[in-house]
Amino acid sequence: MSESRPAMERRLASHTPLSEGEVRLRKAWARPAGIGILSEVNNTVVGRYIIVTGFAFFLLGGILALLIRTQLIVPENTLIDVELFNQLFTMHGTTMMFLFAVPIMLGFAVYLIPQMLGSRDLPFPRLSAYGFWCYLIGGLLVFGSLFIGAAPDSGWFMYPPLSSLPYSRGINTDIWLLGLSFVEISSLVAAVEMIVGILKVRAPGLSINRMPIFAWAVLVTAFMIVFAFPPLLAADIMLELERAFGWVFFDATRNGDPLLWQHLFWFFGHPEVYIIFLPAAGMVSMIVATFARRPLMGHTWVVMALIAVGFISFGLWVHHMFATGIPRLSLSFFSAASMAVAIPTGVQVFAWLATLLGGRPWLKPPLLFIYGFLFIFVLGGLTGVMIALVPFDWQVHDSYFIVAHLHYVLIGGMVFPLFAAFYYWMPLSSGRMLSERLGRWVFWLMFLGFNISFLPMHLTGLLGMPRRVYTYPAEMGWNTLNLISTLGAYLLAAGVLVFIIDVIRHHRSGEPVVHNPWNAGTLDWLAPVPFQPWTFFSVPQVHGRYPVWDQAELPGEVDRGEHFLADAPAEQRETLITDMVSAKPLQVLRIPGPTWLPLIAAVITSAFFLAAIAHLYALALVIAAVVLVIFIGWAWMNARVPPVDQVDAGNGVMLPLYLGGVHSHSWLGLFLGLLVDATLFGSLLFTYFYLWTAWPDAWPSAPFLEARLPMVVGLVLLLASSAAMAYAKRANQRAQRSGFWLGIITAFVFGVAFLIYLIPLFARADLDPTRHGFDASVWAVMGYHFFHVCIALLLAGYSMARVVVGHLTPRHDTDLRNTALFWHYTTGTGILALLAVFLFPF
Amino acid sequence: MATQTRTLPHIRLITPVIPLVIWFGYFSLVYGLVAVDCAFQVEQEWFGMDAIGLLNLLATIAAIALIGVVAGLAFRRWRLAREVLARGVEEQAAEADRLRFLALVTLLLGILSLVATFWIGGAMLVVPQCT
Repeated sequence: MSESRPAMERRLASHTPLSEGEVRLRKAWARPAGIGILSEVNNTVVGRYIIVTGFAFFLLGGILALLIRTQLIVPENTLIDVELFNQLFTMHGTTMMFLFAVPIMLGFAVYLIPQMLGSRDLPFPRLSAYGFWCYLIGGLLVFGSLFIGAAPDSGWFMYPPLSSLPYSRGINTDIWLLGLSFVEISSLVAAVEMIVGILKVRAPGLSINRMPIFAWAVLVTAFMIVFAFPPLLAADIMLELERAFGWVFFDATRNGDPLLWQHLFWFFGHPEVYIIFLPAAGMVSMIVATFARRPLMGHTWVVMALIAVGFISFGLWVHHMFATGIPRLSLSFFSAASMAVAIPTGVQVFAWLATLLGGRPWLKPPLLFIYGFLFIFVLGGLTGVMIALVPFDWQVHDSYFIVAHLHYVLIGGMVFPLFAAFYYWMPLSSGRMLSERLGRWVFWLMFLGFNISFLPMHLTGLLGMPRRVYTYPAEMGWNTLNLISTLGAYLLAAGVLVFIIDVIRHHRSGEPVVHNPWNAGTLDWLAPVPFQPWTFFSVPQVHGRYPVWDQAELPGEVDRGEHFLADAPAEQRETLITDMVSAKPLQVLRIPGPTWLPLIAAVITSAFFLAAIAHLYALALVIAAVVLVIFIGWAWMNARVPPVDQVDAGNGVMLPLYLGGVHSHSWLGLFLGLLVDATLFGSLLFTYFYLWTAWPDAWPSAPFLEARLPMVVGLVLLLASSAAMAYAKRANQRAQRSGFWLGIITAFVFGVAFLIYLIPLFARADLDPTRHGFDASVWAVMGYHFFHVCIALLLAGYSMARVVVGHLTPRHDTDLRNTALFWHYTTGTGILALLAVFLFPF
Repeated sequence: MATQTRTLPHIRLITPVIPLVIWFGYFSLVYGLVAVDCAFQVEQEWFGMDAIGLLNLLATIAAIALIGVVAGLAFRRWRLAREVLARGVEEQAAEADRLRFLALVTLLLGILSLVATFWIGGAMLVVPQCT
């Protein structure tokens, strides 16, 4: 078990005077003073920024909820008019889902994961910071629209035709589409950061079978974001193209289909529920083990359950569309998948219960919130199984029963674990404990308030009250139930208010702690609190799932610098890269320190979206070019040839400073980025095929597409360019400089020839994207591909420039390998695009 | 205790999700086939059976077979890892522990994927295609 507190205090006291190694370490990880703190990119700072911002949006979304409940407290209330009410419920859902729930969970991940994995930081800290600034600016933009009366008002799922131009003339919908697309960037970059971080920067010995459950949950969640967010991004872009330029995707009068939006939205929207829930479930697993004072029972089963939920949740999207006229057999597939997802969820619940039953539960506020979570979430899960049954769903569709169900799942499944997490992990950040007494008040006010508010809504729904109505007649029989729900909502809000008071209070008078106040067993509690930027004085060697419990001497050894990287000889920030399965040390990774680049890039990116919202498209294009230049400059600063090949990582282990190719963290990052891109491209292809099935009798073709020659020429050029790029990569590895230049220039020429040949052909073809869904989807697929060829050419030029200045050598060739990877990917998507638009339907 | 070492089979990080990938591929295929059938009123018959129904049946059998093979291999690796751990071969303990973990996750996900596939296949037997 962990070291006692007096022993820890003695040990910390013995740390002065500082060793030379610690002086260098402190210098490398020093935080900028004053306003300069905004340029800090370290995960302990950025993670806290995200959590605080997410909680602020939670409060704002909660205020909107209170306004909604106040309007509904009595029938025929005139407090809020219908227009404002529409904006309120749209912004409540939007804020809670996009600006609170997903970001705050990712914020916890950014803050906790490196410490939990025994790492000093995440591998792309500037990317995390960029994501945060995008989130903050985009969130303020979207939420701020309420104050100018231009907030989105078509519901949080923004269904066309209600959100189409004829029925939504203002910029309200544009703000939602473009503002949230901007916010989604932050989730996507955080997902890439998390996957690479979890797979690559674990402490030596923290092999895949020893990884904490929260890290598993975040890993699964991050992969879900990679596959779930791009369809929404594609749908956003298509609806904005329809609204701004008249391209047809969702307009049924011109052979589009509004149901296409629902498919794309819910392909994101249903996994989104689990994107919110899984990190919370990971938190629950960590907290349950600590407060049961024993390892989690069924660790492997819980890992299985997390992966299964993540996967199966992608087969559930149509259960939000049971009432849209889809064939019954198709509905039954989704009904079956909806039932199947209950199995792994049940496995987790039983693992938590078994752990508590097999342990010695310590009923502190975090565990109290976990009990509340179990009670509420299981009830929400059971009503979920009810509405997975198609006939029952038809009865309660769009009624308050659904409102009750989704809040039981989301507040029970995410908000209660979140508050448990606040009470559990707050000492890591502040070095002080939140109040146990106030914590119990917070819990009971929230628990009772929640159930008083939402339990009656099941009945309100069964009695027929529809969602999203701004008022109701007195004679409907819903009056008392609505009154009770509103009173419950205020009680719930009172609980949150007491929590805020507790947080403010604890910074002054909370009980100070030095180390591991809960006697937890995982690495997040290994270092003294509050966290220092470098977290661990030396990066620990781990031998079990609960190192603090299993290795009694570990805290002392780590603080005495007896493990890895207990020095920063170059005064640069460093962490270890380890093998993805065995966690064997592979590389010392030097990571960037404070920089204003992420903030500047985010501000300029926001200008692009603002210009697009204002319909200043020429200006938006100019800004996009500036953003591109900034990113090229950003990349240019990376991946320099290191001054020495190997450094001493501690304990006599010599490790390289550079790993190339598929072993490089940047290669994995790009690969994941391409998965995001491929999912977006897949969404556009899905659009093409979906509209074909929607309009089988009205699916035209273009004479130009019936001639096969352009397709054949296009395919040959793409394949030839890829072969040339592969040759350039191999020649560089063999230090054949002339072969490299021959290959890369040939690839470049073929790429340019592809564009010069095909773009004019498509431009001259009789394709009008404002006329027919077919024309629009062909242009969407091909336009996307042409854009990628341009980026591939740019990357090839970048690699050539790197060779010229000596940053790319036969051994340090990550840039070229990344360029080749992107190039081959572009060829692959190009082949699919050409075959689809030229050959299909046969 | 015997300390005889034996080369352990390699298991990739991606392996545990293979059964779920097969399930998802199967799920997408049958959903797509039903969508096309209902959109175009396909009346093609093969071997006296509705063509789309036959394709769905074959897809179900193929998915069950593939998932079964992966789950079976995972079971064998899990058993092997347990044997190695039971023999107490110190130098292979960490590797065997990792193998046991990944093989068990694969096996469990295989079983769950089989249940989900049977569930969807069962729906095809009782629910008419395009109503």
